[in-house]
Formats: sequence, structure tokens, C-alpha cells
Amino acid sequence: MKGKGKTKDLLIFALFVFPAVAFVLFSTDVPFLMNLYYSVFDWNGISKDMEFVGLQNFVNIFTNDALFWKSTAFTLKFSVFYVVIVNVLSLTVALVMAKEKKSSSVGRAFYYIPYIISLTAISLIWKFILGPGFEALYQVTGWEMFNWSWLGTAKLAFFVVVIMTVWQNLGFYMVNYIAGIIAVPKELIEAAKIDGANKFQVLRKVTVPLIMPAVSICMLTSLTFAFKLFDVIMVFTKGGPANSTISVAYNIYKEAFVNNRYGMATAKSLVFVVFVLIVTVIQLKVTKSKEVEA
Amino acid sequence: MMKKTLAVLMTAALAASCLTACGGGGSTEESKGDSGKDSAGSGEEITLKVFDAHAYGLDEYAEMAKKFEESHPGVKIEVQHAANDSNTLLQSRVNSGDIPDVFDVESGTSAQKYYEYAYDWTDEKDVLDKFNEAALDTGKDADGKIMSLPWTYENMGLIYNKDLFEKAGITELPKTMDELEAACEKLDAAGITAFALAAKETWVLQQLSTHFMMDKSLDAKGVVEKLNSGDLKFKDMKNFQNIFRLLDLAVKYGPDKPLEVDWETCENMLANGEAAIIHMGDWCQSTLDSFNPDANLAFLPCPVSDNADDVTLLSSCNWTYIVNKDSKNLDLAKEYLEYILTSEEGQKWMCDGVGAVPGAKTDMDVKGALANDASTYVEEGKTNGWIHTIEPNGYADIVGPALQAYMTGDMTAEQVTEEFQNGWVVQ
Repeated sequence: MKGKGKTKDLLIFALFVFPAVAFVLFSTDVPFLMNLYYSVFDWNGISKDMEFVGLQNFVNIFTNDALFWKSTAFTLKFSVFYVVIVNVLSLTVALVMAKEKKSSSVGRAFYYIPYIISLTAISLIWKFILGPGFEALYQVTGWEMFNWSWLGTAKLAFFVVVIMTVWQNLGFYMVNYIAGIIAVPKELIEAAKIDGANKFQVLRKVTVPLIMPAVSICMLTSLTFAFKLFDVIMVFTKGGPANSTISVAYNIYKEAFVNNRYGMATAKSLVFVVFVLIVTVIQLKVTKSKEVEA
Repeated sequence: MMKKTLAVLMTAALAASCLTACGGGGSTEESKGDSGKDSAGSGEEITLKVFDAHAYGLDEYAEMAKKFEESHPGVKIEVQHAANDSNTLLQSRVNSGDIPDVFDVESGTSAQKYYEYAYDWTDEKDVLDKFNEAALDTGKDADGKIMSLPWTYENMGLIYNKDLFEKAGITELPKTMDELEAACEKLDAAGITAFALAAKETWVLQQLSTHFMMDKSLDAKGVVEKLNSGDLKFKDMKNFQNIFRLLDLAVKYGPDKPLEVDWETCENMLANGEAAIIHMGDWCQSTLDSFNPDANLAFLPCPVSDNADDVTLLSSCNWTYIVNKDSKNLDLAKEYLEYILTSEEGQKWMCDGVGAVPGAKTDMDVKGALANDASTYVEEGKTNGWIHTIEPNGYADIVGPALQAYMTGDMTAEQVTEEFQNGWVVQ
């Protein structure tokens, strides 16, 4: 009797999970396998004929593709800056905004708005800020930084991309952190206070350890966002000036659809998948190990 | 228990519907493969799928398509206009088996990739006779077969603002590099920004560079062939180093932040008299008009050397239309393409709506001032073909960023020249 119930439960479980699994299979796993298949061909993405080249595409990536490595370097550098800045900032903001005051709901909305604006509007806003906005500021303040060519200089364009993406996504991580902070049991904080802990100690010894699940989620999402960075580059900098802001995803896109080297592009994306996989697994392991329960 | 059974049934139904949806996608793909002209004859409604890689003269296009539908009862024209990323869109459609019946791509290297899907027009003399011969050349494959039909002539070079030149006291168009520099100095002295090169756009820099690769005795095709065979090297090109001189001028006499100028900004500055010279083609006519319809603009054939005869204006039918040879409605697709490229309605679209000179023979007046200006040079035989549409795959990706790096001072002229040479890889 008991065993029968178990198989039945399992069956029902399988049936409920099946639609989701099917969707993931068809939208992610099947394309991934196709990717695997294309990566050993020389194919322009259009023709009916594909030439089998074995691992030649991969050999090319490692021996003869400076741009791919340049874009990898950019993506890595961007990831470090983005993940650190966006998490520190959003956690700070969340700590302030988590207080249940009327003003904080206004504040939360204020930080969340950029996240829901479409990218086209955002790039127009930033075009304005960096153009006429900075020009006006320069005239008022006379500070040389407002007169720099932010989008026309390789080093500065990098920071424009970082600042813009942090500004845009801050609200998302903030909401995650707020949810975590609110869930921290009040009595623990009170107990810590009674024990004589100051505000900073409460934060470090009580709040932060208890919101580690939120931290690991935010770290993971920010890291994957940074690795997959594409739309901002596509709309805003186009990888320029002089390829200084070309991300791996953008490099792969260009390889497939501009240079029409589809096989090469799929090979690149595979190399990148492996790379991302390794980094995220390490990152998850590290943050998960720090999680505690109240 | 009832509830559970219901839940199971519903889940199964959902799963099944999901599967059939996926399966359905596959089967339509297959049915497209086997072509049959017979379906055109049946009384059912036929939808002709058209892909248009531009969004110019949309009103005239709609009018033209409507007239075709009226004269062909039961036929529906379904057009996708792609203003951006046309190559990506088209490639996705081809990949998913949804090949349009009629579509256009950039002629030359891009078009070659699609020719295995293209209907061969070589033997249809009565259709081909309606086009200019030079225009038809842009639609030939490697064996000289005519696989696609030309759209309009597009011309590119430097474009200048006549009023500003007059204001600065420049009476004669500069024809050599020295004269160009002198003109810039004059404009600068009159308080006018001489150059607004859209240096943010790598494609603009790349197109600009082709002027300096041109050898008048070889024309575009000859230059490309010699580069392909290795007989010609970038460092040996007689005018090539002058591109750096022009970029220097563009930085010195251009806006404060030269690398932030995008195509829209440069056209706006030119049309509104804020800059005297840009590099662009007559395809930007409608944008220029939208900024200032009264702007007094004309082509300035690009000086490339110390020889006044070397100035270049590059002209080509750079968009070319392909009929899918496996189309279910092949005859209709052919008829539609002939209609949009050669009929009176079609010419109205090109001449009035787009404002460009059609590749088909025509008596119609062309609306665009720049196109008219360019056609005087075309008639005098002073123009050359386009290099950048027939250069090797992937080369374009290297050139623009390298020139940007020169402008920011991150690369020397020598390094850029080497980068060009290394990027020119024939596959």
C-alpha cells in the first residue's frame, strides 16, 4: 500500500514537472546540443553546405584570435568591477531602505525605476548626461572631468559601461537584499543589542550572516549578468572606441551575424560556457559555505 | 481523488499541446522544401513573403504593394522592413526555414552567401533589358551568372555645406590634400567646424578608407583582385597614407570629442550649418531633409592625393534583390520583383520615396538633391565602384576599430597599415 502511494506520488511529481522540463529542454538544452554540433563545422550560417573541420575552430580560438581574448579580458575586468560595486552599493542602500518608514517606500521606488526603464530610453538618458549634461556642468563648475570625452576614450568608456549598468540594476539587487534583511528575526538583533553590540557589530555578526542566501543569489545573478553583458554594448558603445568595450557575448554575436562565421561563433560560445561554469561553481561553493541558519 | 485525476489529465494535456506546438514548427519547415508552382493556380489566398532591408520611402512602398494586390486578386504581400540589423534578421529567417520569397541583401560578399538560394535570371533577357548593364554587374556570382537584381545607385564621398564654404570664402572645391587642408584652415578661420566625421561609427571610417585604396586605373574590382592575389599591399598603395592625413584634419578641425560623433550627429551638424564636411552617402538624404529641408548640400569628391584627377566619388548599386528559387509561388515572386524594380509604381518608390537613381532604366526625375548631384559625376564617368561590399569576409570588423585607435593615439599609422594588411584574409 505504502509503496504504491510512493510511485503514484512520483508519477504526479513527474507530470507536474514535465512541462517545465520540456520547455527548458527545447529552449535551452536542445539549442545547446546543436551548438555543440555546429562548433565542429566551418559554416557561414546561411549556406546549406557545412564543412566538417573537427577541432580546427577551437584551435583557431586559442592560437589566432586576439579579439576574443581581448573581449575576455574586458569581460573579466568588467565582472570584477560590476559585481563588487553593485553588491556593495545595493546592500548599503538596502540597509537604509529596509527601515519601515514612509519615506523608504518612496526611496525604494526611486532606486527601482532605472531597472524597469527600457534600454533604449536608458541609452538616450546617458547620451544626454554625457553630452549636453556634462557640458553644462563643465560651464558651471569648470571641472576638467566634465570636459573629458567619456565615450571617446578607451579607459573612460569602460567606466561609463560599469557606472551605467550599476545604475540600471542597483534596484534589482536592492529589492533582493531588502527581502533578506526584513526576514532577519528582530529578537536576534535585539538580543545582540542587549549584549552590548554596536550597530556595526550587529550588521557584521548578525545581519550579514543571516542574509547570506540573498548574498549568494545576488552574487550569482550579478556575475552571470556581467558575463553575459551584451545589450548595453550593442545599443550604447558598439564595442568602441577601438574595441575597448567589446564583451565576449558581443564578440560572439559579431562573429555569427556580422562576420558570418557561425561555426567559429558556436565554438567560442562553448569555450565561454565552460569558463562561466567553472567560475559560477566556485562562486556558489564559496558563498554557500558561508550561509547559516537562524 | 477526482481532483488528482483532473490535475493529471490537465498536465498531460498541457504537455501534449506543448509538444505538438514544437512538432508543428518542424513540419511547416519541411513542407516548404518541396516547391510546387501549381499552388499559384488554385483559388486560395496566396501570401507572398517579402523581406526589405530598408525602411526608406515606406508610404510609397505601401502604395506600390497595395496596387499589386489589387491587380492580383487573392494575393497578399507580407513585407518585413528591417531598418536595423537586416542581416541578422534575414539570417535567422533562413536558418529557421522561413526563407522569404523575395528579399534583398547587400551586393557583393554578403549576397554571394545567399546565391545558393537564388533564382538564376541569366536567361530572362526581357527582364534584364530593363536594367542598366553596369547595375546588373553587381548581382553576378563567381561564374558571371545573374543571381540577383539591382535596387538603386548609392553614392558616397564627402558631402559639404555650400553655404558654409561660401561664408569661408572657398570658391573652388578642394581637389588635393593640400587644398583640403587649406580649405579646413579657411573654415576654421571663419569660426566654422570644418569636419564632422562620424568616427563613432566604425563603418563610416571603413567606408572612408576605401577612397584611399582606390586606384583609378584598376577600379574597385581590380583593386580587390590585386589585394586578394597579394600583388598589391597596403603599404605600397600610393594614396593610402593620406587617410591618416585626413583623419588628422578631422581631429584637428573637428568637434572637441571626435570619437563621440555618431552618424545622426554628423548629419544634423551638416544640415544645420554647424559643420562644413562629413563623409556619408546619398542614402542619408531623407535624414538630412528631416533635420533641415533647406540645407544647401552637395558632394565633394574626396581628395586622396596631390593629383586633382584622383578625387573619388564611389557609386554602386549596393543592394540587390534575390528571388528564392524554392519559393512555392516562384512565378509570382518573380513578377513581384520585376514589378517593384521596373514598373512605374516601383520607380516612383525609388525616385520619389527614396530619392535615389534606380538600377533599372528610367526617365523619371529623381527627388534627392544629392543623388542628382552625384549623377552628374556618374554621367561624366568620374565615379568608381565600391570596395567595401566586395572585400573579404571579416575584414570590415578590423578596419574601423584600427582607425579609431589611430584617432585616439593608441596606434601609429604604421601599425594601422599592418592591421589592414593582416585583416585582408581571403577565405
